Amino acid sequence: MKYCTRAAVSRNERIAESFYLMELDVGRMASDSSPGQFVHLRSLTPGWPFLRRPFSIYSSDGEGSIEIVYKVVGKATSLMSGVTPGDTLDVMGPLGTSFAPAASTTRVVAVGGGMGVPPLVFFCRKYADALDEVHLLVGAKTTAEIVVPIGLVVEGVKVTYYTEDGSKGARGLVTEGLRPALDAAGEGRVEVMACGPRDMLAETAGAARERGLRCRVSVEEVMACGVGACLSCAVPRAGGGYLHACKDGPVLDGDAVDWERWTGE
Amino acid sequence: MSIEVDVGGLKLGSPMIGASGLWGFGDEYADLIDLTRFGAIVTKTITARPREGNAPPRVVDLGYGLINSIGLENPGIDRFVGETLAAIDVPCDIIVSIGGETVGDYASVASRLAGEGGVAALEVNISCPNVAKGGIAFGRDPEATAAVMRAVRAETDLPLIAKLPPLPGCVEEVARAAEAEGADALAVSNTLPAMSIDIESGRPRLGGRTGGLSGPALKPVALFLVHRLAAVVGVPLIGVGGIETSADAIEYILAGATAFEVGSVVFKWLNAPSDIVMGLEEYMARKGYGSIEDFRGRAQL
Ligand SMILES: Cc1cc2nc3c(=O)[nH]c(=O)nc-3n(C[C@H](O)[C@H](O)[C@H](O)COP(=O)(O)OP(=O)(O)OC[C@H]3O[C@@H](n4cnc5c(N)ncnc54)[C@H](O)[C@@H]3O)c2cc1C
Ligand SMILES: Cc1cc2nc3c(=O)[nH]c(=O)nc-3n(C[C@H](O)[C@H](O)[C@H](O)COP(=O)(O)O)c2cc1C
Ligand code: FES
Repeated sequence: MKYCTRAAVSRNERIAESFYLMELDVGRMASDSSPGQFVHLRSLTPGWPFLRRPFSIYSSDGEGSIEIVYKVVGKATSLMSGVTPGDTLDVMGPLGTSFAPAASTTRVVAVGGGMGVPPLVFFCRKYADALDEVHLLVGAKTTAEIVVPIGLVVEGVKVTYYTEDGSKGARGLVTEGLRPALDAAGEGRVEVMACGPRDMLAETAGAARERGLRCRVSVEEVMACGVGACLSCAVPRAGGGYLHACKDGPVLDGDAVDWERWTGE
Repeated sequence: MSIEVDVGGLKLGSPMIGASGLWGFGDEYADLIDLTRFGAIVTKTITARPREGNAPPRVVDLGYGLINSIGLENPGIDRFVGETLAAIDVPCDIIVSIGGETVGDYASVASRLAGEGGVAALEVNISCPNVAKGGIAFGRDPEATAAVMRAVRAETDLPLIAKLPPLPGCVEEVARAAEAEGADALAVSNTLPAMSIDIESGRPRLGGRTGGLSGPALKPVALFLVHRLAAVVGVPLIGVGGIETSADAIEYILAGATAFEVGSVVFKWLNAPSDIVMGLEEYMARKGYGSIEDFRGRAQL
């Protein structure tokens, strides 16, 4: 069930340079929210652009409140950063598909880059107990951009860090750790999940395909309606035509996307 | 008081219609919007063959409006008739929008729909700015418009709505041509050809390079055209473009429109359509109007 509600903001905190965590009282929407799904929101303040903006759900208390983590990159996100507790936002959700492991999956390698990490942390919180092993690979430009407190919230999950400046974990891109992590995943039915920049998703989907592993990736494309009605959010489909990020996705099979067309190679 | 209208033989319980391309096939908003206050919704434009649409990005947010370049992505008439149409389940009428690259394409789509139940009218899209062939190329040319309308008219008895582009230079001639060849109503208008360029990369922001402008920025242009056409043609007009409030819809009716379509506003506020109908009823009650006809075209006087 999808909802649209005037949600009160109960928290809107700066958690790092230009990164914020917002908690929203969304009522019944919270109990239907799964990792990978998103909310599509707008503020009632003048100056908000024409369209809503999509944000992945970072956590849900299952009762009435959800959290999102966002980076200020433009007009809408900068207006959001000025919201104070008690203000209301118009929130649609939960929308789109989610990261749910296949019934036979026992081990998951999850690859998160930048703003792609929070939804995977939500995934770990929800599914880690039911799996034999979860290995979360976290990539960021620098330590300060690892914005969610991963160690605290995903107990029992193996976490490896990659930073481009080497300030935490290994120096380099998270995809450098991907193949070794897949090789180390060993016995059992391994599944790969990824959320982050487009090139990272393409690389991850490629590595999973080489090994014949099920791979689920969360894609981003500019959205208007958020519910599959307007056909704005087109993502090139393997074999021709387009998928729609808001309805077929955002979480798609890695093999379903035509990565060459989408990354412009 | 009644808000029922007769749009060239198409009788609607409400003058509010969902504009083509914004409402999918009706079920996408099932959990979210109550369509009972709509007279009808217009489907995405259906063409003779499936179309995959244009490369992303397909929309640019301008704040005061929106440019889209969807490129008429649709399943094609065979799949539409075979699968989609029967599955549409909405508490209002269905108007099917049809498009094509050639006159023959329009005729073949219209003939496939002629025998189908569940279709209240056809809206002939001769105004899409986002396709390489057809679309607006017909709607900017009175002779091409006449040829399309004549061919479609020959295939169907359903009420026909010609959807025109917002091009002040030619719209009067095009409107007359459409009326002369059997259009029962005119929808005014489609999006305005438009573009946006990223000055850092030096490249157009849309994958399809150019697109069509919708939203509030389009309203004064389309309103002007409704006003002009109300003096030129005898068939009913449907106002389309930038309607966000009941006041916007009332302006179109005062300019001469019998009905109106709501489009891009759904991207902003899901309750806008029901607020528009409520506001319209309040206005009519306050002014003592018993029907839309009581105040339609008053601004013409
Ligand atoms: C499914 C999904 C989940 C997302 N989750 C998060 C998240 O958890 N945290 C986060 O910080 N960001 C997330 N984003 C990205 C976020 O939506 C954009 O950063 C935001 O829309 C920027 O708006 P702006 O006005 O501040 O910036 P703008 O100046 O408008 O744009 C900056 C960038 O955001 C992208 N963007 C703009 N409008 C849209 C739109 N309507 N839909 C999608 N992308 C758009 C543009 O491609 C551009 O590159 C997500 C996007 C999608 C599609
Ligand atoms: C995303 C999008 C898709 C559209 N698709 C179609 C279409 O398939 N056929 C058509 O005739 N008009 C299409 N239109 C035009 C609308 O039906 C309408 O004429 C236009 O948007 C102006 O109304 P508005 O300002 O209320 O949106 C589309 C508009 C948008 C924004
Ligand atoms: S945003 Fe409208 S179809 Fe995805």
